[in-house]
Order: sequence, then C-alpha cells, then structure tokens
Amino acid sequence: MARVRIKQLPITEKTLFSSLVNRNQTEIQDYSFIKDYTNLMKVSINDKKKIKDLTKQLSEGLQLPSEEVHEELSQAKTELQDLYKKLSQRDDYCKDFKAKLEKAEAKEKEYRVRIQELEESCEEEQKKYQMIILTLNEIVDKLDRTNEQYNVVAAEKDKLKQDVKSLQSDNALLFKKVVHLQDEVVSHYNEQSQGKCTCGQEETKESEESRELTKIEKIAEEFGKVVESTTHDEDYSNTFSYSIPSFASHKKDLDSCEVSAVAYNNRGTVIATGSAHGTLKLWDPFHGGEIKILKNFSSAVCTLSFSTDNQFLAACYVDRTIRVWKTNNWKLYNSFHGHSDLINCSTYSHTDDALVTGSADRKIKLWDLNRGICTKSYSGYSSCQDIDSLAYGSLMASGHQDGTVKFWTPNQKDYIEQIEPHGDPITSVCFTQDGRYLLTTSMDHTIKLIDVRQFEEISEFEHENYVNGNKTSRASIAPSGDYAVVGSKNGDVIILKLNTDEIQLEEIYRGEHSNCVNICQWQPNGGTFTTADMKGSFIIWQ
Amino acid sequence: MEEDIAPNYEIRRKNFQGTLPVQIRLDYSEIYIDKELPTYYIMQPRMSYFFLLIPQLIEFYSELLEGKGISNDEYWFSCRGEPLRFDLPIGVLYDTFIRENSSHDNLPFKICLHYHKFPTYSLQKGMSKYIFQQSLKESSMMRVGKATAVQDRLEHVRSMLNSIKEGKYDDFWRYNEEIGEHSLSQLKYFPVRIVINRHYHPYMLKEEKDSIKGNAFVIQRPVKVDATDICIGEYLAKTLSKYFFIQTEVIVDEDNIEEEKQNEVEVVERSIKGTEVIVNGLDIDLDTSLTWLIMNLSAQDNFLYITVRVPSESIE
Repeated sequence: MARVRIKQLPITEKTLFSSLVNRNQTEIQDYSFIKDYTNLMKVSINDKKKIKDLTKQLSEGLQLPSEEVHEELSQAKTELQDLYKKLSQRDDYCKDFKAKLEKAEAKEKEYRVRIQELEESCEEEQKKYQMIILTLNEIVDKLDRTNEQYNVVAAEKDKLKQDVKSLQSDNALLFKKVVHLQDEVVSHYNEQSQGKCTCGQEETKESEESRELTKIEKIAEEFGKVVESTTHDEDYSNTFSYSIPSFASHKKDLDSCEVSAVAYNNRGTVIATGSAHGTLKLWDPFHGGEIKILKNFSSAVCTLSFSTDNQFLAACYVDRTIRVWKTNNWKLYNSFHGHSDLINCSTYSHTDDALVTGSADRKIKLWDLNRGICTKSYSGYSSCQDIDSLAYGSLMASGHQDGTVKFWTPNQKDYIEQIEPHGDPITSVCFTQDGRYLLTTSMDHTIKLIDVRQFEEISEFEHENYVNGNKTSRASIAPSGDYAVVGSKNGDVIILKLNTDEIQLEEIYRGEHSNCVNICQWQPNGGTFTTADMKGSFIIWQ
Repeated sequence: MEEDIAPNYEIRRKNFQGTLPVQIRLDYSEIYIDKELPTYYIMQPRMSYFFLLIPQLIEFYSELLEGKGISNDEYWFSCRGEPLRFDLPIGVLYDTFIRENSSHDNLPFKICLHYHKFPTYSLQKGMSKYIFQQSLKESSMMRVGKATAVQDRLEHVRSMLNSIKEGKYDDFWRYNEEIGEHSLSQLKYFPVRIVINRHYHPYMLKEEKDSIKGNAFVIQRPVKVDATDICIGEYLAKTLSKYFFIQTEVIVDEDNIEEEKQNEVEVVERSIKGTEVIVNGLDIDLDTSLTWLIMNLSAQDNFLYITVRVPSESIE
C-alpha cells in the first residue's frame, strides 16, 4: 500500500492564457458602447465647463468699453488689491505685536510681585528655622544636664544599695549576737536560781547581769523593729503546713461534664463544686465523701464563692442570676440579677463585706448578700476575666480580655493603676496572702509575678509543658505564699515555687487528668488542693 | 523548480487587462426629484478600486450634489443592498457577489451610490486613501519580512494607482518590479487571501451568524515557501475545514492486476455541492498547484485572491 498524492496540472499555461483572453472578450463583448459613451461624457463635461467660463467672461466683458482698458484696469485692480493686502497684513502684524507686548509686560509685573512675595516668605522661614535651631540647642543642653544628674543619682543609688546590703549583713550579725546574749542571760538566770545560797558572788553577777541587760536593751532599742518582725514571721508560719500535696487522694466524677467552679469555704472544711449541668455539690475534702447535692438548676454554674464569715455561698449562673445559699441549713436564701452578660468571676471582699462579680459586660459590681442589692458598680473598660481581692486589705485586682490588669480601691470610682504584663487576654489573677505579689496567667502561655507595691513585673515563667487551654482556667497560690499550682492543657498539674526574684518549676504531676485542667484551688489552710478538668473529673490532692 | 514556477509575462498582461462594464446609479431613496436619474456607465479594470470613481461621479451628478457640502469620505457603494468593501478590487467583488455558474447574464455590474448613513458597522470612514499602500505593505511584509521597499517609494505607489485606474500595464510594472519581484530564495511566505460570500468564522456561534449579514468576508492566511508544493484544495481544506475536506480513496491499477498493487490517493472534496472556487474570473480545479497560481494570477497588490462562492440556498 503506497500512499500517493496525485498532483495534476489540468490548466497548462496555454489554456490559462486562452481562458483569460476569452474572459476579457466575453466580459466586454456586449458593452463596447460604454467606451464611446465615456468618451462622449468627457467631451460633454468639457463643453459644459467651457460654456460656463465663456458666459462668465461675457458677463464681465459686457460692462467694459474695450479690451485694452479692461486689461489695464484689471492690472491696476490687482496691483491695488495686492497693496491693500500688504497694508492690512502690516496692520495686523502691528496689532499682534502690540498685544504680545502688553501681555509680556503684564506677565513681567506678575512675576516681580511673585518674586517679592517669595523673598519675604523665605526670610520668615529662615527666621523660624533659626528659632527652631536655638530651641533645639537649649533642649540638647537640658538633656545633657539631666543625663549628668541621672548619672549622679544612679551612682548615689548604687552606693545606697551597697549600704543597705552592708547594713542587712550587720543586722543579721547583730541579731545573732542578740540571740546568743539572750541564751547567755537565760543560762545566767538558771545558774543564779540554782545557786541561791552562794551569796558571795551575787553582787558581782548582778552587776554583770545589769550590764548585759543594758546592752540588750540598747540593741533592742536600736533594732527593735527587726526583732518584732521576725517574731511575727514565726507566728505567721506556724498557722500553715509547708508540705506540698503530692498524690491524688480522691478522684471524683461529676456527670461527665465540665466542672466550671470550685470553692473552699473559709475554714477549708467544705468543697463546693458547680458543673455545666447546673448541679451544686458539697464534698468533704479530707475523706472525699459527698455531703450534699444542692437544688439543680438547668443553667450552668459560672463561679462559686463563700463569704468570709462562712454564712453564705454565692453561685453565679449562665442565665446571669446570682443565687445565695445559707450555709447553716443549705437553703436558698436570695436570688438576684444585675449584669447584662455572662458573669465570668466572683470573689468575696473582706473589707467591703460584699460579693464582687466581674462580667463580660465590662462591669465590676459589688453586692450586699443579705439584702440582695448592688452597692457599687465600676466600669472595667473591657470584659473582666478574673478578679481577686486581698484577704486582709482593701485592694482588688481584675484581669481583662484586652490584656490589662487593673487595681481598685473601694474609695475611688475609677481604677487606681493599670498595667499590661501580657499581650493576650488574661485568664486569672491571684494575690499572695500577704498581699505583696500578684500571680497572673494569660493566653500567651506565660505566668508572671507582679510586685503590687510598685506595679511592676518581677519575673516570668514559661515551660514547654505549660499550655493555657481555656479562657476561664484558674491558678491558685498556697496560703503560705511559697507555692502556686496551675493546670495545663494536656492534663499536667504544675507546682511552681515562688521566690521574690523568680518563679521556678517545682514539680509536674502527670497521668491523673486526661484533658485540659480548668481550675486549681488551694485549701485555705494549705493542706490540700483540688484540680478540676473539662470532662468532669475533679481530684483532691494530699 | 524555479524554472517551472517562473511567471509567464503574457498571462500576466492578459490578467491585468481584464475589464468589467459597470453601471452606477444614485440611490433613489436619498434624493427627491421628479426626473428620472441619469445612470453612469464606465469600463473599469478588474484590478481597480471603486473609490477611485468617486471624483468622476461627483462631477457627473454635479447638478444634484452641488451645494450640499458632502465630503468625499461620505460616499459609499452597495450591491444588492449590501455595502461593498473598499479594500477589495472590483474583479474580486464581482466574482463574489454577481458571477454565477460562469455565465455573463448579470453584466454589467450594477452598483448603487450612497452619500447618506455611512455603514460604520462594516466599513471604515476616510481610510480609502491608504488602502492600496496598506495592502502593498502587507504583502511585501509577508513576502520579504519588511515593508521598507513600499515606504521609501510612496510617490511611485501613487503613480501605480493611476496606472491601474487607466489600465496601463507597462507603467504599472515599471514601478512594481522594485516592490513585487523577488527571487524564490528571498521569499518567506506567499500572501494569499480567501474571500467568501458569507460570514465565516471557525468558532462562531449560531446567534452571531443570524445577526451578521453575509458581507464579503476575508480570511488572510499566508503560505510558507517550502520545497513541498501544495495544491489549492489542500490549502482550502486547511483554512476552510467547514466547506472542504480531504478524503482517501483506494485505486487499483488495472494494468498490473497480477501484482495486485493498490494505491491510496488523497482527494479534496466539497462538503456542500456547488461551491465554486474562482480566481480572477476563472473557475479553478482544486488540484492545481498553489505556487503556480500565485506566480501567474496574483493581483495588483501581489496578493492571490481566491473567491469561494457557497450557494445561497444551502442550509447550514
């Protein structure tokens, strides 16, 4: 099978030529008259033109006597016309030139005026510039002076710090001496009481004793405050136990729904828990037994708090009502509402003797639980996430969604100080018992310790295991003020050691919670703490 | 091969000398007059353009048109109710619109002159001066790859147009030798234009077809200069696949039946019966060599105009 493309040339050149000739002939054949016609048309059109010209010439020629005169006249006319034309052209040119000149002069005037204005403005600006340079120089001088002063002050500060350190060391030494001397005095008295019969040496001993006593009195006068404070510290530390809870003693389930609130009463004898189903339960923290189930409301519990005199338990619900229970017979005592949005947090203020609630409607309100009346209302400028008040003081701190921590006193209408330690929303704030420091947690997964007296951030804690999983997660500080407990998203419970300089990781308890730890709450006596997670299990640690 | 393709000068002369009788009349609807309008007859070369006639016609109808302030750009021609393109020569227009089945019954070429309502949807106003020069430039661009030969000789182009109008072959080719004559090694493409008597586009929708009336539609597709020589049928099958297609046929040689040799042969077929292929008023067989046609029958602007007449009764 061969594929062939046939290419014939059916028209040879001869046939093409003949067909072209044929075409030309046939197309013209019947219409040869058209050529004659066109020729005739040309002739006729030419004739018409000639006739027109002749008639024109005739009409002009009839008015004149003879051809010579006519020619002369026409020549003269043309010359005259040319002259007139030239004259008119010159006139036009002159006019144009004059107009141009006038325009140019006007422009010149404008430009001169402008130049003057510009010069004046230039001078003014130069003056201004000089003034600015002078003021700048003054400012620079001032800066130099202030810098020098600052350096001097800084040097003085360093000196003072060194003095303070040396004084502290002296103080410690002296205190040791005082204690030593006290021991000596005691032993001396004992010796004296043992040997009353030995009278000969009495006088000398008494004299020695009096000398020592005067010494002690002098030292005591000088450093009396120090001595007092140390004794106070000892008393303070005796009320709390220092051991950290280390194992999960009781593990409970709350209907497999989120434990949204946990609260201890002031003596630490009852734990109240509130769940997302709305059940309030009371537990024994030492044996883990269920004491009572309070009435079940359909809406979820937001927060719980006991009053400091242990008379009332206040519970805030998602439907924005606050319900108050009396603790002596566990009956519903009062119910009221005033917030227009979710109540995120609550605490009991000791000094005001009132319940403090913070809400997502950006308001912080104080409630008299006896009467069920809102006594005060502050504007928090942003949704309030957590609030805490000093146990024995008038200061309150609130953490907000815009990342600020605001401090309040009962006498002022507005906040007294505002700081912004975290960039992200703050989830919990917690005072230490002595009111010196404030612990804040935030959605940026860091924990910060704030000095309340200076309103400054002291230290920061960050760990790979600590992830803040919830906007309502709460941290808690032990009443001794040395430790804090926080919960992480992966179920870890983290114990932190709080020093004045830094926050250190003390312990991580794993494996008890399987999901995000929501709330940590330390017992007011310090023996135990509880943690609760999102899936309803809550654990008492001992 | 070059010897075969070299042009025949006699054929070229005869091709140039072809003339058509033309009958021109003013549009009745545009003039209010009691008398019968005079008709204008003229023999016009096939290579000439219609816009060259306008000054003569204004002179002829000077009684009617004088004092109306009509510029030369306002005039346009129509044939059977459709406006005629200015850029096509008269012979090509005649082939596409009037000529039917190689008969000469429809002669003279009857045309209507208008000066009202210029059809801007199909014609461009005021471009008639530049048409010849433009198409010369296009063709030389395709042939050699540059149009400087035309751009440098614009005065020559003007005199070429005059000689076309008056049918002077020698005057025309004196100038055209510099522009249009090239050896085969210099050439890159052969300029070819196909003119169809209806609107055609390979991707056109049906709704568009209805809206556009059948004006002469030009497809411009140059042919590459190669050693392979194609015939006109193959070229048409490539460009107008709607109307032409290639079919393979098996032919048995009757002389060598014993050897049983079979040959496959490609033949170009028309998809609609009665479609005519015309070049300069001649019916052309589809097997003719395209380069040979280009050499001998190219028009005054060095394009080869192939007119394809699809019969109007055919249903698409």
